[in-house]
Amino acid sequence: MLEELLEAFCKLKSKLGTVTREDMKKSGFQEGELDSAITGGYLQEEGGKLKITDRGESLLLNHRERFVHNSIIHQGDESARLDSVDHWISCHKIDRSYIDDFYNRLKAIPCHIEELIPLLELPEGREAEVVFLVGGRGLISRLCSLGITPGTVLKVLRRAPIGGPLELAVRSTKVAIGREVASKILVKPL
Amino acid sequence: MEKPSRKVDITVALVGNPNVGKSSLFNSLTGLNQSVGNWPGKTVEVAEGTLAYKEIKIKVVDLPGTYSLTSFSEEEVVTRDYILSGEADVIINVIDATALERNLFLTLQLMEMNAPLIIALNMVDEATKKGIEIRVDRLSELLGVPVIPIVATSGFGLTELMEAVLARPTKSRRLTYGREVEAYISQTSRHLQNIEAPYPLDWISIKVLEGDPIITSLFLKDKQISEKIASVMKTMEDLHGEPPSVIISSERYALSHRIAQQVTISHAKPAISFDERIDGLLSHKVVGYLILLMTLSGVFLIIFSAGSYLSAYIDGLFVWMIETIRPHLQVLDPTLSSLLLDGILFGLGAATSIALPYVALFYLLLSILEDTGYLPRAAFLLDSLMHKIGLHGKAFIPMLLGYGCSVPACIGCRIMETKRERLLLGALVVLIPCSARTVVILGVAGSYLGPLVALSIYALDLLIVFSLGRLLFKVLPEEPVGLIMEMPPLRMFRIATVLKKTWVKTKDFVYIALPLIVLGSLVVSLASSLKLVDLIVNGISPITVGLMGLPVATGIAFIFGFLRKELALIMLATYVGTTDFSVFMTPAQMIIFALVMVLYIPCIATLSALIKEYGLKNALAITLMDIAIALFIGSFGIRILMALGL
Repeated sequence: MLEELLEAFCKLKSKLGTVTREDMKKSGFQEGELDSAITGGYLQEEGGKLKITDRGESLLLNHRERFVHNSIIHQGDESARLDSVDHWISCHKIDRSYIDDFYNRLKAIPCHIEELIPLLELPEGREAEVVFLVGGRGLISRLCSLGITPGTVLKVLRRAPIGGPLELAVRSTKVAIGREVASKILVKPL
Repeated sequence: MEKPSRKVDITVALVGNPNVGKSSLFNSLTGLNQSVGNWPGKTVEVAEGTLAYKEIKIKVVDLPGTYSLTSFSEEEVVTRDYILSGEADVIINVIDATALERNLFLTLQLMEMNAPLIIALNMVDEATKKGIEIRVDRLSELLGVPVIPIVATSGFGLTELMEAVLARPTKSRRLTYGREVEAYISQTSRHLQNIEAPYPLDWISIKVLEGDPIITSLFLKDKQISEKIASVMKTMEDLHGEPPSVIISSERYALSHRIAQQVTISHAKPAISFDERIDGLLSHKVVGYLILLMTLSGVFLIIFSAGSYLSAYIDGLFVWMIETIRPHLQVLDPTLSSLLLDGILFGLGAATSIALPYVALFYLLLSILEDTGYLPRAAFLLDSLMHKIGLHGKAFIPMLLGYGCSVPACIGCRIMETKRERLLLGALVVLIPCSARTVVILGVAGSYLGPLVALSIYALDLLIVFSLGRLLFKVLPEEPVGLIMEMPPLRMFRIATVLKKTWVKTKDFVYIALPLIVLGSLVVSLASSLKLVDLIVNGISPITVGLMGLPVATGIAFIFGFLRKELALIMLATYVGTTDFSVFMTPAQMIIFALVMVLYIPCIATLSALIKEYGLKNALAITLMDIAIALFIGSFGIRILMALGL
């Protein structure tokens, strides 16, 4: 999928600085996939280095927004979903158009959306800054009281196997959080 | 020791995060002079104790450990209400010197409430070991609150702490947050200035901005004011892109971060400490599970082997006592002799032969696991397994407790965040074979059919618990609450602390169990002399004999098993007149008997705990469900086993 390729590109870019065709192939992408991303105008190749175009960026933005949107709206059963929706409606003091407003908020957060990944995807040993918490009041409050607030720098110490939780180092303490919780914390890798 | 009738001079409340040594401080201060009780109307345990210092009687209240003072959990509400009530003359905030930043988050909230605060900076020894030095004077100066460095476990600094209590701290004052947030708070306070409230106005403003439902409904009745405050909240959210509660939490954390940095001197730290390495192994993807398996099987092996040895020894002691006294008493009055010996003394013997070996041993090992901080590591590893039954890793802890006694296990379910989760877990933990049921399994299946059969019954029971959890999760589906759990640092346990914990927990068990067992034995010896037992036992024979193919006599076990499960075996032995169960039961019957005994009904003490925790309706539903499961397993199991030729 094109989005996955672009995601992988961004991850590599933040890791290596510059990304070449070879780097992408090493992460398991085919020559043909790269070509179609370039002909489609999502990636550019300049002097051997790959760059993301505006078009690619907006596709990624959509992808990330869909991710966030999905994690709020399409996860859980009816009541959990309603809870999240209610939460957003009450936060924004508006009806219906809450989603638009939510997207505006996402855009207002102090870094590029494409720099953000859910904490779940942060590799072991990497540090990241918490940027955005997605979820109901109860969850956010529990996270905040353990020191996971926006702006906090944390590190993934280890992950338990088979869908198990993550162990984080945060504010000189250790905290374990489940995967579903980790998918609701958006972080900017440092 | 002081007489309890004397009036209390000073009341002190201990407040702090979980795992900061609050209970150690409480124990060091009050010794054994304490009692654990439930707060009226709340399912939160609060311990109280007294001490006398310089002839002044001080009452110490150990409030539940909490990270914050919002209203999302009952612990937080209880702590908050107690502080606001002004009942405590002094609030001691116990904080962990090794995690200052996280701990100050709560301190700042206590200061928002203008609590008369003393800070007990605990574990300064551990901090030194980690290369952290706290500038106590500077911390006290920045907060405007007395700060006393202590080591709760060794008693270091406690005299200074008590001197500070006697000096009676004045009300603390809220620290100033960032300019923007302060502006929002003062705007809100201006809107609220005409309300009448016994609490600090700024605190109410902060809580209203945080959207605290309790405070909002109490003080935000005026519609006009509500709208004005809503617009303040909207401004906050629009400007910062976060809900006000998150903005305020971030602000508190920013301040505690600044304070912690100003007062902490970090010396060179070892690259990776020894503790870290052990921790890495304990939560390792492969090694961690091996250690977990070894730890749990080790715990059970010790309990089974050492337990049954000790149990038999104590049993023998009581039998010897009874038989030595009997001839002397029988001469005086045969009925009285039977009541005293077969009723009371026999019951006492039964209780001690369970309580001491199995229960005490279990609590001893559990306390070690608890104090070293191993339990959260186990919960971490088992999180994904627990998700299969709609719960998260922390649910493992009450389940483990269930192997000791179901009553504390039911109470332990409070660590789950929502009512639904607590109920789900409560329904499962009562099916875990407790010490008393272990005695039944070992006494019947174990001693006649071998340890492998006993182990299989254990395994089958776990399978039933897991399947039931799966089923309940399917029937009552809901997004499980995610795991968010602190992993406290690993610590070496102290033998004295562990022994004391074991003693306190075993004492609780004895208090609940002993009267029931003695009463039960009395009732049986009375009923058997009145020939009542035969009537009842024959009355339920359609179920025992007809449905489950068990001997008629087992009816007595099921009736008395409701009082205490371990009583069942003893009653059965008394009723049949032999302790050799192989005389009247086939191997298949023994297996089914043991299984059904484990499953069929929570004992009376557990039932009362269930009623207290979940209400009568839910408790009855759980009981009926257990009976249904037991009958189902019993009636089908016996037929399968017989078909297999057992």
